[in-house]
Amino acid sequence: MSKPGMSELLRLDGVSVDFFVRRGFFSTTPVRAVRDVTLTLKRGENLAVVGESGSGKTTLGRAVLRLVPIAGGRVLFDGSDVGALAGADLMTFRRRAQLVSQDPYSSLSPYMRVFDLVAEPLVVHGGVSRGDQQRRVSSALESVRLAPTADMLARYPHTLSGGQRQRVNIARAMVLEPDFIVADEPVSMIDASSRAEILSLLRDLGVARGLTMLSITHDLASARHSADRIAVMYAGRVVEVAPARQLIEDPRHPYTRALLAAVPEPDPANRLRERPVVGGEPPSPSALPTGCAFHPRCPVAIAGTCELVDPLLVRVSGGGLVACHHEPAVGVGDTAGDAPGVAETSGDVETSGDVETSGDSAASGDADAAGPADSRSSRAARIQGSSASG
Amino acid sequence: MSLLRVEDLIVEYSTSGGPVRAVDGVSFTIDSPGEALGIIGESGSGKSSLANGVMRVLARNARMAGGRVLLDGRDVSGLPEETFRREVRWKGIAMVFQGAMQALNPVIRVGDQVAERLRYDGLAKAAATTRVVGLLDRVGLPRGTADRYPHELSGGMKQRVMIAMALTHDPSLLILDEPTSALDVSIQAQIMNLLKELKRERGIAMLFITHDLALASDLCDRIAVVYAGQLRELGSAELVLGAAADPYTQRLLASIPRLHGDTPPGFLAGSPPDLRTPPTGCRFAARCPVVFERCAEPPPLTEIAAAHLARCWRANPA
Amino acid sequence: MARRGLLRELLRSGVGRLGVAMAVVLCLTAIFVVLTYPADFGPARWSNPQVWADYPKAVPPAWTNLAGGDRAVHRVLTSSAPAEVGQAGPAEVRTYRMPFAYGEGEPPTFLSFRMGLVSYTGRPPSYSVVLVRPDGLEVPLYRDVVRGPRPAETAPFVRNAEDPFRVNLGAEDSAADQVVKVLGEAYGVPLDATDLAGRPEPALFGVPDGAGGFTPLRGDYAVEVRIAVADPTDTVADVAAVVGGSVYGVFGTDAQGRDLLEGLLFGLPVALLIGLSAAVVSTAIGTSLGLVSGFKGGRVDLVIQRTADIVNNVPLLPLLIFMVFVLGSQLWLILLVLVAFSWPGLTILIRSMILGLRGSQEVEAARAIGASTRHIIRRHVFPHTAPFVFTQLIFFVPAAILAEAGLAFLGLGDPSLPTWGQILENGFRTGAVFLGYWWWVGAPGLMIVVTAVTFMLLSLAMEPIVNPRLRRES
Repeated sequence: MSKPGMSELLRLDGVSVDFFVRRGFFSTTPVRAVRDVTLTLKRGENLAVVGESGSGKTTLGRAVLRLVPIAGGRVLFDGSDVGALAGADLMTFRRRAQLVSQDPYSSLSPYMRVFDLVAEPLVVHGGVSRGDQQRRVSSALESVRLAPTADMLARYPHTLSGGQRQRVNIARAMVLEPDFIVADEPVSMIDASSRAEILSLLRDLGVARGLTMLSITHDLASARHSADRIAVMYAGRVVEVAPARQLIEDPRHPYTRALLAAVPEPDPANRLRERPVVGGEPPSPSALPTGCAFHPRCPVAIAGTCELVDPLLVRVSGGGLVACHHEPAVGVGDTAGDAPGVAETSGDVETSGDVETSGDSAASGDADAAGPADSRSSRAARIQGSSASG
Repeated sequence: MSLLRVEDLIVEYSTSGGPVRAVDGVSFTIDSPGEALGIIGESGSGKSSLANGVMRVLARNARMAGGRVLLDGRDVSGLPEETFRREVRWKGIAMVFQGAMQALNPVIRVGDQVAERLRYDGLAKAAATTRVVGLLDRVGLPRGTADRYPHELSGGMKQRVMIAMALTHDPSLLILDEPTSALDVSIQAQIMNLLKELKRERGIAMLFITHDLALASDLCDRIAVVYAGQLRELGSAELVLGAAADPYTQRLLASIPRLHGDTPPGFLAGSPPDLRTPPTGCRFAARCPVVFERCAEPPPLTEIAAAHLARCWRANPA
Repeated sequence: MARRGLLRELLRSGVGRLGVAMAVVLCLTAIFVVLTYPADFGPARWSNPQVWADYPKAVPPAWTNLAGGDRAVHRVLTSSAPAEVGQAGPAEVRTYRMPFAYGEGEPPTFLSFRMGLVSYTGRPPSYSVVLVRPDGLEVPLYRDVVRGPRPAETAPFVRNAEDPFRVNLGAEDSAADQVVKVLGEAYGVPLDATDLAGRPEPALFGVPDGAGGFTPLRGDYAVEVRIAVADPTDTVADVAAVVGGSVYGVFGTDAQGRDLLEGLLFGLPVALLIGLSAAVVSTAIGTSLGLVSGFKGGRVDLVIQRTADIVNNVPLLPLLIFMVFVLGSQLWLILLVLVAFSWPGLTILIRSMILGLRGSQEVEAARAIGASTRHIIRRHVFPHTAPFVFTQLIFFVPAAILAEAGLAFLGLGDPSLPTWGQILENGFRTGAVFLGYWWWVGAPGLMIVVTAVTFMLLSLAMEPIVNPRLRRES
């Protein structure tokens, strides 16, 4: 097994998560929402997980926080298996790892005032005097730019706007001074004009406190500005991981390209041309295509390969990770990854920023399945086609 | 003669705190068939009330308190409800509502729901079915969709059904209120493409309501920006997106995160004013980065350049 | 927010204001009854015929006379000191006068005489009762002697110590004979005792009309009681005459002469007690089981739910009848059975609410910060169910009251306690419906309805509190 690097805080090792669907009168059948995901996060890093419906990104976020059971693999937080934690260790984890929920309307109890809501984590973990509670709640509210006046502390959530409620959510997450935050689509239910503010707030907090963040989102454009790295998920798998700007400027996976092409930019010329889109819709986890889950919609699917073999997530030139038969694995010597033991069992290798220690990190076989060895740039040009408009 | 002319529309809600003007004297036109006008605003800006007012489907505690709506020169806002329902609603103007996917009846087949108005108007079943199947096909749905129930369809497919339903009577104006807000980004792009096609090949004028300026640019020839019940800027897409004159529009544009380029999105602090007690001066003054003394006096919507209106003293020093 | 907001919300609607007003009136009345009625009201007063001996039997309420009625008003005339004291030979004669004005068009339903404690040392006192009429005639109604000493008795001789002596003057032949004689002489109309058909009151209070009947004589009457005592130290406590009315009180009287107002008022706190205690206990059980069932899941959930299903389908009324028949009609037993079979509805409902709440973002956020299940239930689950539970509780009160009333009506209640259902049962058993004693069955029915409606109004007014959509307006 791999030894976690000193700066690695979170590691997902081949994590799979099932949810159960009723089939027939008495039995349920498991449907795999997250399939064999391997990722690591360095301390202080902000990783955005981007995907559409059915991608499994939300389930992944819950699994990381041990809010849903894991069907396969492990989640390691600071070296410890999250699934095996109990008692005081579990409470420590619950203090160090926090959640910012998606819906500011239904995640805050309408019966609790702002003070109670932000103080609740302190109460649950105990050992904080009333005076200290007040001090910490005030400081948490200030850090999210909500003035902790007596009026604000006494208000009920339904008297606040969506943006204000989400700040309360963030304050709640900050009050225990955690190391790690999972932000589950924190601005998707807020007005577009208020989103940037909340996102920049989260980013500033992360930087100021050295937080490690896993941001779940569907908005690639915002992720570019707030995340260090972006992981793209499709049908339960990670299909591409790269530093944020790189993923957007040089996307390697056809799905990533399709996503990017679908993002609207405020260009008046847009209305005069068709937006390049990929037809069809993301598959339901209970009815996945064979082989690569994207192949039915993929503009460059290779007949005879893509529908049979599910590509592995491998390191490619440029340092990112891609799961596509068009992208051959690149040998070691590129940017670092983790030890090979992981690669052998799951086939996925991930960059954590550390220097790679062993030689077999590249998953086998993909170079063969990649098809004709076109130069990358010409292939890219062919695939991108008319989506080159910005 | 414009296809749609909205003059000084006022929509008032009666609340426990007194009447609130969600739409306070908004005027605009859609001049020709196949033209799309975007109405951009935050939540609470009055954009949905505006659409509902034109369509005369306001909530029970709301009413049109002033102004008029003319469709092809005919005053449709003053018509008796029965006449409007029979002649205008769904025939002249059709609407795809926000969250329309929830509007489908779960126990009736999709095809029957799309045909509902046709059948109500007396079309025979066979003819209605043919038309419905044709429409569903036109909006990109696979064969056999008409026989399905709503729960068998995905969100994007349901939205296409709603669009088909709006087209049954070949309206000259289609109002779309946040038609893609609940959809994935790639599905959203598909729907926008569909709307673009419909606009081009059928010459349907569109009133597209959204909070997303970038999305509006995908369809709209002209853009109107609404804030606190008032129009702040109105002009062609090129002018509004490229040379926005109003500070609110400018801030909205700046808050759009760009895929390319390193400029982080700007943001707009604060929230819109409470319309129960609207500000006496410019309604954006409290949040405006370039506010000055003149703003205490409410600026009128003036033409600052050809076919470009703005409501701002900075843009219109006169 | 919970409690104060609740009251404010209730008072916001007309329905709520009415419900709260009615509830306040009911509660205050109940408190009044509890404070002023004796604890043994049932056996000691309600079921005690002595208490009601002077009351008119089965008469409608007095206010029915107001709308142009001319019914006889009930009068109780007392006198504790003689108006005159005279001598008739060796005896002292005490004359008690009890005047009254009689203007009704209907004769009294009865005329009775009552004498309290008598104490004598030598010969027993003798007494006579005379009716003095406005036309100057005097009709002797009754004469008798106090019971003499018994063989083993010693002076002073005490009579009527426990219960006063009563005689219905109209039932005595002497009264009938006398009135016929007096009237016949004075008015020159030949009358026979049989003309009176056993009821001398019309004659006593009327003038013969020549056709065998009597027209009412209005004016000032008096009942004179002359008591002749042998020894001046002999004492006679109060004497009284009762001029029986044909209407009485707020709710009338039943066949035993019991004032229905007293009985119905007594029934109010009993009904409230039954309703509230059954509702509170049943709600508490139902809610806790629902919470456990929803949260624990698995086998515990299965067991509780199946038990709830079975209990829910047991028909309550036949079971109650059976149990009361076998074990006797005691109030606590009825309550026990009521509670034992009404919790399942709430359990099933609460459980499904819990299942929904468990997956909510609010609960998920609480789990993420490490809250224990108990904390989550207390702060994130229960507050959402509380308004609903409270509404159900209020709604259950009238159901319990009706169940008890129904049981009593079927004859399974406690006969010594005048609950509303019991009064209804009495009435039906006596044939009130056929005899036209509408007040006897109408009044308790009305009380049940009013109480039930009060609680219904309250729970109706609480609907906005339960409905979250309406909660959004601040």
